[in-house]
Amino acid sequence: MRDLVAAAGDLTVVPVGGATQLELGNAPSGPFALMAAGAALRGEVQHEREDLTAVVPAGVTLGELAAILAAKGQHLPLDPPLAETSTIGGVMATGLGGPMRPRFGAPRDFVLGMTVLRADGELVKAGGRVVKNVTGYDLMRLWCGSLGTLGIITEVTVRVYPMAPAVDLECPVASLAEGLELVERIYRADVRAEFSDILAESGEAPALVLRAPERAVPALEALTGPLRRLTPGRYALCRDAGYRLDDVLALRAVTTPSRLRALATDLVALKPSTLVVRPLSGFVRAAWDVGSAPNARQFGGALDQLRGATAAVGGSVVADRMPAGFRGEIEAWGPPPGSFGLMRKLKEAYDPAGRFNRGRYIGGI
Amino acid sequence: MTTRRELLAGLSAIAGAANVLWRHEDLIVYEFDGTIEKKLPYAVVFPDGAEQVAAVVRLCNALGFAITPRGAGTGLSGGAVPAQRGVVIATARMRRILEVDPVDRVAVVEPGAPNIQLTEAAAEHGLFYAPDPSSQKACTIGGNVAENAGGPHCLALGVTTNHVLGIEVVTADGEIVWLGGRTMDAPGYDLRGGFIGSEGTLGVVTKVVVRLLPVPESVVTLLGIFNSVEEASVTVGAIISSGLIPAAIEMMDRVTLQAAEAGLQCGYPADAGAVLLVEFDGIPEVIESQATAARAACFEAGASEVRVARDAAERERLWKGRKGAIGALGRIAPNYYILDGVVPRSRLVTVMAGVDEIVSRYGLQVANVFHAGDGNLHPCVVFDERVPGTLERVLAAGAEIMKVCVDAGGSLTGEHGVGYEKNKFMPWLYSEVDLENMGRIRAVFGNHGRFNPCKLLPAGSGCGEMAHNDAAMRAAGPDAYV
Amino acid sequence: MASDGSHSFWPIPADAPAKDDLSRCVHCGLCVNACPTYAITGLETESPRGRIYLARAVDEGHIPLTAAVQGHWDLCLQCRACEAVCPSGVPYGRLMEHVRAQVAAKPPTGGKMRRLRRFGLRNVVARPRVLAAAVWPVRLWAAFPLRGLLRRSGLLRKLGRLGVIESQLPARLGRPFRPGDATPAANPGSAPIVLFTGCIMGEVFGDVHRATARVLTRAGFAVEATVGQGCCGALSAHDGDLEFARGLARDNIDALERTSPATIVNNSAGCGTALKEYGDLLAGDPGYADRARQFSARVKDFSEVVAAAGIPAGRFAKRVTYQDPCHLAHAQRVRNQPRALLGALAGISVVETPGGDMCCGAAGLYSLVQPAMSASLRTRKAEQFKKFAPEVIVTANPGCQMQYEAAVCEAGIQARVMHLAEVLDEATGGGRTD
Repeated sequence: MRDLVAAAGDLTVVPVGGATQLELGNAPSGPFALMAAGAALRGEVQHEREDLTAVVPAGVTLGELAAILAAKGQHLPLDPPLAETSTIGGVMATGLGGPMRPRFGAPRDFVLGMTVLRADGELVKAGGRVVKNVTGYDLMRLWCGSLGTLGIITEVTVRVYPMAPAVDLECPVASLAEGLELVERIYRADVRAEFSDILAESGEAPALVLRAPERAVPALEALTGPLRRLTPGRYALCRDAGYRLDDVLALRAVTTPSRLRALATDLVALKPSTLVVRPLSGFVRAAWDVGSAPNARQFGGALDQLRGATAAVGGSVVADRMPAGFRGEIEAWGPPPGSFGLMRKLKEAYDPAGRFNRGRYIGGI
Repeated sequence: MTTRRELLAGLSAIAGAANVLWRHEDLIVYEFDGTIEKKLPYAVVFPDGAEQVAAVVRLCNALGFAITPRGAGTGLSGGAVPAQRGVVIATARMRRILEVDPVDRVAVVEPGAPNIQLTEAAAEHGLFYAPDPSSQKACTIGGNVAENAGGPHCLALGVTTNHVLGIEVVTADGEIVWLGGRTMDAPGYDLRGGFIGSEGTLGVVTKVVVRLLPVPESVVTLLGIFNSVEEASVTVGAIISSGLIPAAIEMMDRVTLQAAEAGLQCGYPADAGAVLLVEFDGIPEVIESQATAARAACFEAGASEVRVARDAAERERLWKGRKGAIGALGRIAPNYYILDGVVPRSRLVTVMAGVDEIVSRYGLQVANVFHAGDGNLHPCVVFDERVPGTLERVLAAGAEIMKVCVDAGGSLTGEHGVGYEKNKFMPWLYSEVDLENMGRIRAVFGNHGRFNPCKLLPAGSGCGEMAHNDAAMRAAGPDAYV
Repeated sequence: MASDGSHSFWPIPADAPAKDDLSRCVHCGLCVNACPTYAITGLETESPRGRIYLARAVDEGHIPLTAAVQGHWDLCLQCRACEAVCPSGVPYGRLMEHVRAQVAAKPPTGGKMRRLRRFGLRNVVARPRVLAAAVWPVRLWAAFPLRGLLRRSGLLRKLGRLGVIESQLPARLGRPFRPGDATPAANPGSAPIVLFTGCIMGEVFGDVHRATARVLTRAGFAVEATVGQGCCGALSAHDGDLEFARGLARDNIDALERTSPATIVNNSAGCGTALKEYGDLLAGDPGYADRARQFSARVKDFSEVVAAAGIPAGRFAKRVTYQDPCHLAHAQRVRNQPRALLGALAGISVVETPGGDMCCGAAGLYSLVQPAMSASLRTRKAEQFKKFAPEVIVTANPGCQMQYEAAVCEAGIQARVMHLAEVLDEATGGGRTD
């Protein structure tokens, strides 16, 4: 791979893991070459059951990793969209979380150590293999979510968790507002649901969807009323909405809890086919399928308004998927934050020539 | 050539003369932190906010003085010791809790606010701030951010970086910038995450937005009493691998127990070989069964007794001893050298034996008090620096202990920071290329070698011995050339 | 420079702080936020750790004892809040008394004020008759009908330090209570107990002594205020006049030894601490060391005695806050008994205020010597009183009581300041306050 990077010349390299998020971000600026990093970075997973850690080559998919961990009663409660086919390297690079984000953290929160191929061909590492470590700069957090623009992740050491028996449940709610209030009440009552999303599909009543330890179910029902077992497939919907084959347009928005209801309501007004609200991380994802996709120009205006409203508290609205025709109208990332100057310096420090994913990231980095 | 008078005049013009210390007698109490390192600064300045901090940083950069940020000076890696003298920027005048928002569950605080004050302010709303370093009654949030501080309850909840949403910083080149904000995630590089734990080498934190959590519904605290550290270590492994994740698992050995009990009267059994403090929180339905399982694991490994705290007062007493344990070692000897190695949990027993062997080979005494659940050891070598040759032996033993941790697949520091004393051991873990790669982030933030120098990465020239204060400045007035 | 102590800058090395005491501090910093002067200033120089480090630097010959160093020590309230939270067990109170003795021997600054203060402590406070004569005009003034009017006019504030003292005076000074004065008749079979009367306490707060005696009688004691006892010497010791304090200690031991083994009960936290530490103070006096230790072992605070013995059920239907006297909470570590005694009263509602155990700024003579810092600390209390609006503020030390009178004025609330003994007395039947 090192040689490939060197041989790429003026092309910018687009590293590909499980190829689930190729549409993310802007189109590369200038000529580019896809590099099948996932296929190149396969190898054996070193799972240390007693230490609750695993060293994972970047090309291993989360599906493969889950099977290895499950054999010893553990799991990686990081369940990003399309987890089964996503590689761990790709997941860390995109930084996308899943339904368990509020309880267990974003991808960056699982990383104990990382090795990265830098643009000049050097392999560099940071962190280590222990669950608590402040030895050296926390470069892992810079690498996570950087979309490979600072280097290609080659190996990741993650913290894993014991699998606890839990049940998936759901109950219908009258409105988004009621769903939000229920989640808040459950959280305040200290019932530690592994996830608690509100799922709204167009034409159907919204539902509260959650996972909790069996023992906590009576305490939960005291707050929510009767719960029923979650229909299979509904969990995957919460996780994957926006990234399925027939989703042509997807937004992910993050704001503060107090503004979440307004944001979700604004998104509902844009008539997505699926809406997932993850109240405890201030997160909403809206997806439109082919039939429901709106007009590009109108949508662009609405998106600008949404971005204006969330920017006040440092929130963001990112367009993860969009039809080809939207590309000229819509900027994928939205306006860069005040620290963008530092971000650009960071890119210059690690990839001055723009060898990796040139132009794809925020602000055209 | 710049004189100290010019510097003092400049600092006074920025922060007001009353907020600049320059007399030798005043500076001398800023030459140390919680470690054994010391170095006298030329001046200490107390800015009142980001604007003044930025002006001070630009002034020092222009005049060529090193800068060292300082919170409460409770750090355990020499982070606040001004290694190249220069100017100490103390955050003591920035210590307000600006806002507690119970709906968004965030608080906005200034860097000089003590950790405990944040906890108290949050408690009014049924919330709490999770990272609870043992020094939480004194240490500041700004210092916590700089060191990515942990604490006993970080086992389940994570360390500072998991609880800070945004920071306003003055970078090493004097620019004021927000990293992160009030939301959980944002697109773009996680500069916030890169800054936290940078040990004051990238800039000064001037505001912090933290995440608050609801106070647990109920808590069970167990005190497992064992005949040996080994028994207790085995129990830790058994608890963790059984699938339980307690809120905390802390271990104290015999030496620590006796010192803590003498100093703080917390009801520890003074004749035990080791104790484990194990805590679970959550709803009673869930934690009761967890506590039962942990209790069984203790007895299985040979515990002679397992006590359960009957009420909040008893729980607080048990924790008081744990949190004051390091300081209580002053009862045994006037100095201590505390290490912070981390090892994979499965290696606890072997590494602890290694520590024992090293310490006895050097003829020293060690007290062990640590975050067992994380494998984060705090061997604490107690000694009297006034006995000639002791300090050298202590440092040599410390280095060997760190090597044992690294060789076991661990790391040099879990929460105290690399600072001044451990940076020379970084090559045990990282190659020259890795270290050069890390160093690049300094330039990104505008640190070209004079911002909290001699910390975190292996030091270059100009980072001489700190432990021996040069006497030159002692008698020197404000006109001395530097 | 040598750090073996051979170049110490102490003016009287014989009475220097003990090296073992100094080296016990490992500067972990856990004390700093407990320190009132650090809370106000945020300066390491005004923290316990800083003050100890300065003492160590003087001791090891790194810095001379300059006016700046003295200033940092002078600002210390000697409240000993740091001592209570210190995990290493640094005996800060003892250290600071020795440090003050050094300063007193050769003060770099303020020598005249210091001599005046020492003269007052030696010749007025410690001499009952002179003290009585000095308090007499104050008593007249306190009872002066137009005082309230003058107070409200703000004219008194223009008096500077005198104004400070004025603002702290209780609304009415009761009749003094002196050793030998009559105590209530005890029930048959009561255990004898000795009431320590002190100096200013007896002159200014005679009513508190009488209330104390009544409550103790109800608790089953035969109270006697033994003749011959005098000032405990705490103010002198805090001021660094250890020699004089030792003399007063010896006098008290001589006077009260014959009452052994009866408990010596006192109701002033400052005196109580001094009495309990006679053993330390006279440790170097071969003729008195053992006797001092035996004496100290007999000393108990009023609340300790009453909580252990029990009193008849009482009623006090008021909103009350208890403010810890520093020397009771931090030096004697008595925190629970006063709260338990108050909590047991019917009808009472007890509120805890943040910083209830932080120094009020009275600290003996401190309010006169360091008026600005003292006022800052009083204002913190006033703010809490305003917020929590208690009807009664309860404490257990004369200096605090006086400072709270001023804090109540500052807060602009209607609240009585009472000694714990007065509350318990009123709650369990009261008595003649003739």
